[in-house]
Amino acid sequence: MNIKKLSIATVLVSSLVVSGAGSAFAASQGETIKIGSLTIVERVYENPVEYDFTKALAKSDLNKIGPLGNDMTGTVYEMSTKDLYKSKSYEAEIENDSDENDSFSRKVTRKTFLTGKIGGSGETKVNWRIIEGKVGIHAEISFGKEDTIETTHTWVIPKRTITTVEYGSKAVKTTGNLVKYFQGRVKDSNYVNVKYSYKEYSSKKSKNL
Amino acid sequence: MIRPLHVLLLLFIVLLSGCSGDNSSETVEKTPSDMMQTVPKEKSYGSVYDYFEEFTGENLKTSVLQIKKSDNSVELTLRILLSDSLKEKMMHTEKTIYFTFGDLPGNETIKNLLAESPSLVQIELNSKENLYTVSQKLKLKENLTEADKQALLSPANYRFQVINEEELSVASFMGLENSLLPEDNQK
Repeated sequence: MNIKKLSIATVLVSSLVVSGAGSAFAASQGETIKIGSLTIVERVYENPVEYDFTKALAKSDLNKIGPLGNDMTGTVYEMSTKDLYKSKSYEAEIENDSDENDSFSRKVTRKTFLTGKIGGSGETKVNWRIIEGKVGIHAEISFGKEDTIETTHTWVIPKRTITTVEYGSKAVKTTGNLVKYFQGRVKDSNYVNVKYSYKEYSSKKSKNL
Repeated sequence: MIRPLHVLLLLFIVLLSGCSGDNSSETVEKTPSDMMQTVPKEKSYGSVYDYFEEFTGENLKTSVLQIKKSDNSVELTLRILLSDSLKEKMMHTEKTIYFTFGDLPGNETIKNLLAESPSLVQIELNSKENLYTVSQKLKLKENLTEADKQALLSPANYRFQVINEEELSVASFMGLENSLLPEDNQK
């Protein structure tokens, strides 16, 4: 019965994907898996593919305003660049050559990243907040609810199509300087070069066979 | 000397214990509460997150998402077909299971058009039915453009989420522009 085949397909794919994508050291795969009416090729990117760069620095971001307040003392992030991009960590190409819609399920683990130089040591947390505040992008809960740390995603794979399902993060890359002011004068300046993800994303594209 | 009386007494006692043994196997008229106690205790789950991996397309099949727009709101309706095994688990889960619709992961297409976050939905499961309807009403912002309305009416922009007691999504179903229901996939 088709239904039985489908059931094996979904369960097997889920566990296969988990064993691949769950490991931090998973190598890029690319092997073909045939289950039921689906033919699946998965790729896990150990080093995510960065693409879709958009410059997002506003003119107002370039203003070098020292810390406000009576004593003009504090730390500010003087931003030089701000680029938005996508970081792809996983994709699956699924061919459904049957006359029935099918489904593809995957266990997904939330992954966010933060890399780069943030300035003087011992102050990372505070510096981070200053940078994030200036960049103005924070992880948000959108319409719908935030995923649990591990969650299951199921995609409907239309009949007679090749469907590509992609997973990754929306990310920001920013460079600039963390500047410490004391009574209006620059006391210290540290170069910043940071990448961080602020939202997981996934998408699906189908092409007719 | 063993007195015959002692023997008689012993015999009597033995007979009595024999009788009480018999009593336990006698048919006793069972009251309804007795009946319930003899039913084996079903396995129960604390949270829907305990079995989140079972929310796959095999166990939960989605229909095409129906979207009806009124003046300031949109009504989303989805039919879902639950497998017996998943339904059993859901019916024996202590903490509440909710459902909601949402944007695709990482998108804000629909969120940006809403006046407020919609309330989470619950459904009443029973042992007879496997096909259920989930509905949710979305309140819209005013002055939406034509492009906005097109986005709202497109099932591909939505996902169906299963929500745990902490209001976090344990499973998502996407691709709601195509149906997985057997009745919609007949040749």
